[in-house]
Amino acid sequence: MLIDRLDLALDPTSGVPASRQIAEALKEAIIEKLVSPGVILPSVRDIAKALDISRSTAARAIDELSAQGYVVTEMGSGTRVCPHLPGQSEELPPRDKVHKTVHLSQFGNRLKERFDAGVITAKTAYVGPLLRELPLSTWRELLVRHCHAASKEESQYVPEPFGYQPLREAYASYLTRARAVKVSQDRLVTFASRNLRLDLLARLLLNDGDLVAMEEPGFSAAREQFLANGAQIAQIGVDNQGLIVEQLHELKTAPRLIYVTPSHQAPTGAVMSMNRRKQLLEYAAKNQAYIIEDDYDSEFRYDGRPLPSLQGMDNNDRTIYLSCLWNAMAPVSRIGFMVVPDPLVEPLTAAKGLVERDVSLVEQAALADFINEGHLEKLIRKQRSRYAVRRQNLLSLLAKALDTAYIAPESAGLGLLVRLNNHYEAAKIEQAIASSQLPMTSTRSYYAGAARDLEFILSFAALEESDLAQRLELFAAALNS
Amino acid sequence: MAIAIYLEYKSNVALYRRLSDALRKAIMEGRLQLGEPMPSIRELSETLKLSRSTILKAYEDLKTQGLVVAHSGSGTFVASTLPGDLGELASAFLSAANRPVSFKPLPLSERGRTIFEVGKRQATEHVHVPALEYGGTPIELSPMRDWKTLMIKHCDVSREEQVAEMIDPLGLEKLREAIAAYVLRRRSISSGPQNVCIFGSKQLRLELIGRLLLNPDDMVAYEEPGYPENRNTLESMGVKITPIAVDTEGLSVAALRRLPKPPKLIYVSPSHQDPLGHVMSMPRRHELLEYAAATGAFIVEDDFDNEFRYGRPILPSIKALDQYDCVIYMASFWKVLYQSLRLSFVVFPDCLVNIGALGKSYLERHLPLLEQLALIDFINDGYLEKHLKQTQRVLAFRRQSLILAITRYLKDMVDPLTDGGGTHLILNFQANLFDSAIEQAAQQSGFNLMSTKPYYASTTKSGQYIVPFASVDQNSIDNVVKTFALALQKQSGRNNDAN
Repeated sequence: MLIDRLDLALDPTSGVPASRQIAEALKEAIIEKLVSPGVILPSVRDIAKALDISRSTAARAIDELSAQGYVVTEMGSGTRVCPHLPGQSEELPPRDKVHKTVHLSQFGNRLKERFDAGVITAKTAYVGPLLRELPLSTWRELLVRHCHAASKEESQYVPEPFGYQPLREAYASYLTRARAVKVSQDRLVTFASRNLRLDLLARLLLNDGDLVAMEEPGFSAAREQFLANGAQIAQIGVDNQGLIVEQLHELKTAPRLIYVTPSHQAPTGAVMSMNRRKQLLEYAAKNQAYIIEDDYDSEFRYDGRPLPSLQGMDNNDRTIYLSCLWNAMAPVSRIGFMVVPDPLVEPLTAAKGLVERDVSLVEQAALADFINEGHLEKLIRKQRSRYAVRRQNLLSLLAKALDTAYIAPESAGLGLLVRLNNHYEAAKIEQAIASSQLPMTSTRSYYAGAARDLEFILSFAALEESDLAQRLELFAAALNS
Repeated sequence: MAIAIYLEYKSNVALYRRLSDALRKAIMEGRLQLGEPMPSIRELSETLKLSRSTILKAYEDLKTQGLVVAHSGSGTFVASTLPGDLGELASAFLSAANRPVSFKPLPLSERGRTIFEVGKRQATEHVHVPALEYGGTPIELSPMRDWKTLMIKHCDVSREEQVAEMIDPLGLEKLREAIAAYVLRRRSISSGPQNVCIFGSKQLRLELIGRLLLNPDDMVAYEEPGYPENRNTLESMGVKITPIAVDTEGLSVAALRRLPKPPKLIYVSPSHQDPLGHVMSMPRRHELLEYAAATGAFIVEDDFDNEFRYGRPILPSIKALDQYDCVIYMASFWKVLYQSLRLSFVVFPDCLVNIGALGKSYLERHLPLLEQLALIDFINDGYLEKHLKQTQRVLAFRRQSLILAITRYLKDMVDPLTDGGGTHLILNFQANLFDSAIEQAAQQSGFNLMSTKPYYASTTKSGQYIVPFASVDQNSIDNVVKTFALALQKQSGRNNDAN
């Protein structure tokens, strides 16, 4: 019998379970071809008898071999040595050669290049409201309401690529009311991942090498998304009236997309003037380009001039409007929205259905009620007055603590653009930021071209007054030491 | 109520008049809706930095125009009907405002056209039918109560600490640890938390993998039949899908070897082939791994249906056997919490961990915080496995009663039953029965079944149906199948007469 030929001596002192020892010995025999592939192994009962062990131990040994792929057990016909053994393939390269270098796609390579160049990272710091300043008890109530009703809602819910209809209706009416956006729920798209908005647009509308006009300085995340999808960027300057539209006319070929932040230019804070808005809309209509209006923080204006959106002024249906709840509601909800022109509704429905067909129903339903019951506007009003005070405080603290060359005058947003005077050293500032944990970041990443020295964004919103004052004090002390 | 108001500058027009014009415009455009309250005077005076008296005057002006009405004690409202000609004007304005005239639309890009085409097909072809609840666990077994408790527990200020962590695109560290331990326990995968990446959308998993590894026209080997949704996600990137036949041991590696050149990616669902339900045999798993290692291809192991099995031994996942660092493993919690829990995950091979994190932060940077925190407890405190165990028991019972009914009434109409998947059986009707007759009979009798046609990319197969049993009612199923059998006999008799 096979078992006798194998000379299986169990070593009870080794501490290795008997089943493992048997499995190992059999495995070796199979690899060494002492037992040929396809041969039927002795039954569990025979093995147990021959080795004087319990049947369950023998069975465990066979199970282990089976799990590792050396034997196959078939009902009624016993256990056979596998005809194809693991690791025995002749075409197999040496193990250390396998997947040493991964062949990435063009897209993957572009990401890797930008990462190696230090332009993009996989992680960033959290910038958003303080959890304790959010209406958590309201949100909890809404969760209870919808977690409870969920089984019923769920069983009838058919995921829609554009999102849960009651949420779309609620947000559309909010946008109409607050931002004068021309929107109906069938043109409003809900995104769980905000990043997908520009990615989908870039893929739907841009071929490799197509031109996208962007503000310089402008949002680096947007720029990187266009670049990763193979687009070229045309940098268009900004002044205190926003994007300098005349520079668009100087381009040799017209861009397919124009990405702007007219409500509050990132990072300079400029509000695009009426005149410029008209020029830009005219340009886009004449040159068959789409405008992407990123209305990322328009909720936060402190001097009482809530300007209507650019999209609302556009009579040619050329503007794609982006909005999101991050600044008001992160980390409780981070849903993003996009309002698309009619011709894009169908392609976008198809495209969205492929990458993000459904968003958590509980979150969507809770958010719809949050908006409909007026909590959102109440929250924003509260935040606005709170942040206005913080901004004012920061301004007076700054005047005392630092020697600034320029502070952006626009009374809006969640951060303050500050230029320090030349006599400060960049390296020393970096150190002082690190040691004081002041929420101050260089605007370097906003520039595709040469950055401005000693220009920073100081975030004032998500930090209590005393905390900010303390950090600023520490910062100034570190800087002047 | 926040409202965007732009006070147009007109010299020699009084301020209150400019305000009432702006408000009038807002009413006309439907931004202030009929019958709804007007913004409060306090609010307008705060946001616009105008005096109360100016605002009062503007409201008075609107009142004389019949656009607003004041209800004593409850404030000012937009009129519920607008005065005569103004009403028509408003509706004309409204339709024009909401539907701007389109110029010639921008043509889509080349890849945009592919995406559009594939996405449109998916929308028409793979219809989601809630009544079928195919694949999900039955609603009445859903652990919604536990989930609610956990969600509420974490909706709390004391979670402030964790907020900074939520911006990790890979997901919360603690959740990745919980998942790493879970897949080690249940699927023998020993990769560790650093290889785990959490996703908010199931579809983004394959989107990310495809985008990072595939160029247009690259070849992907895909099970035939296979899950259409994932095939579509890949196809929308312009890659070439090569259907590879499936036999009772799973994907045919012999067919892979016959390809003129090896594929870049191989998509398989080895735990329960979707939809046929075959479990990939152990030798086949090794053979596939070695083929992939030898050709430099990556394997995507979609382990979406591993939770429930009936009388068959559990095989370790391909990822657990992978010594060549070439298996990308994906799974989700979709079966457990049908619609509420959207989180799913990928376990990357070591060689893809870094680029995977980079790609993830590009496609989906932020994940929902509360859901992640709740899921950590759901896994670590044993809710998940307790739920799976309970559900498995109920499902086994329902499956059995369905099998009984089928053997009793449909024996002569279908091929012998195979194992099927974790929540469905596959019925192969005999060739003389037409799909139209089968579907009509199903509709008449309330028997839930779904054709496998969308699962086939190149071949067509008729008479093959998925029968989900997760929501089968064991009291009535016998009767339903009996009615179905009778209806089908009648239908096909009619068809044969017609022929």
